[in-house]
Amino acid sequence: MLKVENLCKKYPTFCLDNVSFHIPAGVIVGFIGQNGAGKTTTLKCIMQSVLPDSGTICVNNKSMAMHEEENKQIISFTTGAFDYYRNHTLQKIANVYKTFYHDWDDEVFKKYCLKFKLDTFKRVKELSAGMRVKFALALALSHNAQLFLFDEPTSGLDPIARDEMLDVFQDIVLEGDKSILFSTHITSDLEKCADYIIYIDNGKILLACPKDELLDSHAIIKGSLDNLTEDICQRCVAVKTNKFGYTGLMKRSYLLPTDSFVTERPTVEDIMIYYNKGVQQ
Amino acid sequence: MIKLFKKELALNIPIPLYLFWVLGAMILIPNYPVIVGVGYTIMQIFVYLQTSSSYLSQEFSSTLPVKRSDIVSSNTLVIAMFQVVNVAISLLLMPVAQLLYPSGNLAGMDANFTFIGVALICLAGFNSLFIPNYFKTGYKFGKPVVLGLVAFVVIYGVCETLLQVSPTLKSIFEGYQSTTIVWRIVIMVVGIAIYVVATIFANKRAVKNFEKVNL
Repeated sequence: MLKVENLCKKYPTFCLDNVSFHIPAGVIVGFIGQNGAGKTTTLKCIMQSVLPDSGTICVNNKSMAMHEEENKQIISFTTGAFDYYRNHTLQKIANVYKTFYHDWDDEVFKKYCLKFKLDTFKRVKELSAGMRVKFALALALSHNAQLFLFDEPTSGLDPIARDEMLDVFQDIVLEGDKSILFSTHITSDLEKCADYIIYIDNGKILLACPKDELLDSHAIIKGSLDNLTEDICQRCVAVKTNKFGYTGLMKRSYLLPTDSFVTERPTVEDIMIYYNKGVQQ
Repeated sequence: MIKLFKKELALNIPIPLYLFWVLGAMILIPNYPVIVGVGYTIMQIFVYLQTSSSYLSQEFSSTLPVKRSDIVSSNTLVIAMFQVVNVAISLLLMPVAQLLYPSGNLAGMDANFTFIGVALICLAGFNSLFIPNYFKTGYKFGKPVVLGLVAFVVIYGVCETLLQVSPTLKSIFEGYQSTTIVWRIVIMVVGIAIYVVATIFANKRAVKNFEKVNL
């Protein structure tokens, strides 16, 4: 569905460094990383809003550089809350927006407006941040896109709306022909619905693999400071200590039968935090 | 590109902005510099782009299935629409102005075909500097407007001065007499040609500049 290869973009203070990943059809991919890690820049490069210095981006085996117009017919890109044309009503914006898409479906748009309780006669500026996210999603979902790129789609939403949104995401990929790549800081959302995780740090992809494989292949280890040895530190991705003891993230393949520490299954957040700490160390 | 142009009309141009076209009728004010009405199109463009920028219109357009070059061309088309309609209103009201002050305009150029041609050449100068410079960023319009305005004023100043200091030129290109009307029409046609060519080239350079912009 989406193939990004060796994507590079240099700014004076930051660069995307050979970013590569592949998203198959029918999956939800969580794109994680701390602020300024390069998530939005990568998404904007895919959309050609930011022009890459090098690398290739293909959607359904068609290069974005060569087939931008055609590819964008099947891509939906939303950057969180809808912040454009604040003085216009939702209906007026939707009426203009739909003229650009061959497969726009008025009924689907109405269905989502109803589902999200959007009053289309309201102006954008009259909506809360959460409702503006919902409007962006209603537009994105109404033109039969195959690839959904969402930049922080659930930030600004209350927990119930977030849960509702994740259900929508799962409905989208249910038939197996559509994919979602969404960046988020809310890692609990990823626990609920992501199939794959791509972790970017300082412009480089650190991890890109199925979520379960990622969680299954790592362990959180805990022990007292007396038992923390140099060998454990070296086998860990990163270790944190406090006066009560230590915790660390270790690849399960590095676990030894002789290890005496406690192990737990990590969360996506643990993976993100420890890998970030590991890179810094 | 037409869809983007329609989008600009529907979302980026506040209705009161169309009222600027009424200023094309300033040609009817006796003994008043006729170019002033045309000059107001620059303010119209300024307000349009300010609205567009505050609405993050280009960022929105970049998410749509359109070519990047079409985002520029649709903006250029709106700018040209403001200018051409304004000049066309002046052209339509020209016979009325000639009836209102048959002895000519004491405050500069007369309201005749020469003026239409000169106005279009001034706008061509404005477009040549403004449009490509504006699309170096797609949102900063202060410096490009100043550059465009300088071109507009300098071209008008040169034309006006030539007409005022040269009795030969004044006798041919000023006034409403039918004996020299062909020359005045020639100036208008030359003005149209220069305007069209300059605006197309300005758009081409703008497209090139905008290709490098990160939205």
